[in-house]
Amino acid sequence: MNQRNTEIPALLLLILLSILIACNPPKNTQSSDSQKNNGAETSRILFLNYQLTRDSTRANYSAQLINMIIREGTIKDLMKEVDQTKEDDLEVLVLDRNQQTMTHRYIPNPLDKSVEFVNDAGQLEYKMIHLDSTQFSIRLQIEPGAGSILLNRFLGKDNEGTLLLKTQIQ
Amino acid sequence: MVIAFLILTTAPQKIFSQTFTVDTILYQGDVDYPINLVFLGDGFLESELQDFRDIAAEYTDLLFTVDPFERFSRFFNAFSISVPSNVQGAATDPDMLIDNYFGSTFGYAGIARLLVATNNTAISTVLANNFPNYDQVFMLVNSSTYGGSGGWVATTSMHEDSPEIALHELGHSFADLADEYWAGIQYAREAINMTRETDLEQLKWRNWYGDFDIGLYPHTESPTWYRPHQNCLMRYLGEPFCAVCREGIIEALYEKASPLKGYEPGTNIFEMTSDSILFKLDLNHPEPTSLESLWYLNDVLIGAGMDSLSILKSELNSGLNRVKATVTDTSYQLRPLDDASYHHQVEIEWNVSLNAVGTEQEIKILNHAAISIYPNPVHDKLHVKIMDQVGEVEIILYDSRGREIQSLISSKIGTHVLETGSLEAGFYMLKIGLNGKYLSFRRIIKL
Repeated sequence: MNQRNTEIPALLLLILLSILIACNPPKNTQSSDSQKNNGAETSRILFLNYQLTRDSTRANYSAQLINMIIREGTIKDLMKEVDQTKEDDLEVLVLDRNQQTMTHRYIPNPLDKSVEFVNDAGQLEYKMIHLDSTQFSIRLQIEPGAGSILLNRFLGKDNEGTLLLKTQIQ
Repeated sequence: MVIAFLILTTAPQKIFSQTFTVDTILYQGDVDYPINLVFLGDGFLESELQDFRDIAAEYTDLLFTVDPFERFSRFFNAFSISVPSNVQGAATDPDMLIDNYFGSTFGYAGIARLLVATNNTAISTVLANNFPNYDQVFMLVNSSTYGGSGGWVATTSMHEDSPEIALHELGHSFADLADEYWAGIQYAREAINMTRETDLEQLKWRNWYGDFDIGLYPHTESPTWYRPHQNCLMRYLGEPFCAVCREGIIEALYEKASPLKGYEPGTNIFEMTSDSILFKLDLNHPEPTSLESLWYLNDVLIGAGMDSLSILKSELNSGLNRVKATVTDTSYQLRPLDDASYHHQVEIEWNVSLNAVGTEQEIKILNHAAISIYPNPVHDKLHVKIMDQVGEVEIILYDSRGREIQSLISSKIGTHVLETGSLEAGFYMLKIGLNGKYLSFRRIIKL
């Protein structure tokens, strides 16, 4: 009996926690990491961390922002274009406050992850790993006037990509 | 169970806002100029963080024993970020992660030696909060088991052979080199050290072909793809970088940190208050230096090998004068083609008006894209091709002392040929103009 009495509050607490978490997605919980630039606009570095998921059919993708951090400064090595854009790669667009594209990049699909390692024979080897869900990070140089980031799923040159997430730069 | 759940859901948010101790291993200048290497450690307990810092310093020292990095330590800063883990080492099973900070685990994708720091958000957030200007990140995992992995974070364990993995990964992430082993058709691409081109006149490493064991070697698994060398670090751990990859690394290095840090006069307009003007370059020299400075007044070579040059007013013509300095890395490790932009060569130009109160200046990176000169080094015939040529081209060849050797003026569209067979071996300068306007100076090596 005593055991049952202690389990019920624990279960209630668990449910309460789940509700709290559901109402408070990572995008909001991490907003304290963002730094607003209230002064004169300067070059800034934007860090975005996402959770990317696809369903078992691999037809449907969804993305969730984990956190966004903005720091003043410049980066030397801007994000490089992928050599050969393929279906399901991601398209990252920086839009200005009038929704016009400022920069545009493709990044390889983070769910199809290439990893390089040393095999048992001591030789270097590559392996492609297909994931259902993963975290990935983007670091971008954003110039004054940047307003939002679009994350699109690229579906080929002849098809319109699908919007996964739009993030306002705070 | 509830307590465990609370820890799992709240710990990351607490962690993500943390800042940690950042220690300087190597400092060569403000973070905006040199290339910033940043070391993170995973699986180090609070009491072991000094060990982590020592190992990061050892890795930095090791990097600068490797060709070509050994000549370029002045182009790098190195820092370590001390992040304590609650549990030592790395997991052995990605499905059973331990409470280290960055989620490092062996056995990723079922491969025992594949060591991956799985918590990408933690890595990115720690970098953002502690060193957002990083250029290259290394993750050192506190385990003596052999392992590592590539990607934007070069990850290695503490095993004595693991640094080789980091060097190989640096080739990928720093210079965008391809693998020289056959990784699979999905990874085959045109790269600095990978091609399908078989025409030796067009080969991207044609200037190296036949030297330093550079050739055109087909991949056995897919013979339409070629590599430049048989035993490069991009193929086998424990080997040095081949000449082609080494050149690619140096170019990438100069792309990130120009050899020209600054120059004087540095203002657009200045008063000429004396009878002479000192022009000065602030150069970051490799050790030993291989930078060569050439100075020109109104397109005539007036000095070489100097970082500064004083010009008297009496040397200037009335009206507009042009003072120019070109800085080129003349190392044997560089054999650039002439159909691409290069970062080891910079040009600074000042326009000085003798009768005015000021000068204008501009810095220009030579745009090599419009002009193709080959071969260089040259034996008998030097070919010069100007893309989209409309009008009259003027090509003048000078020796290293600035004396005109031969010239060519032509309105012919196509490739122009200079006979160079009778010239003595050495360095020459090629001036190219179009319709009376200066286009470019190129340095030519006569073999």
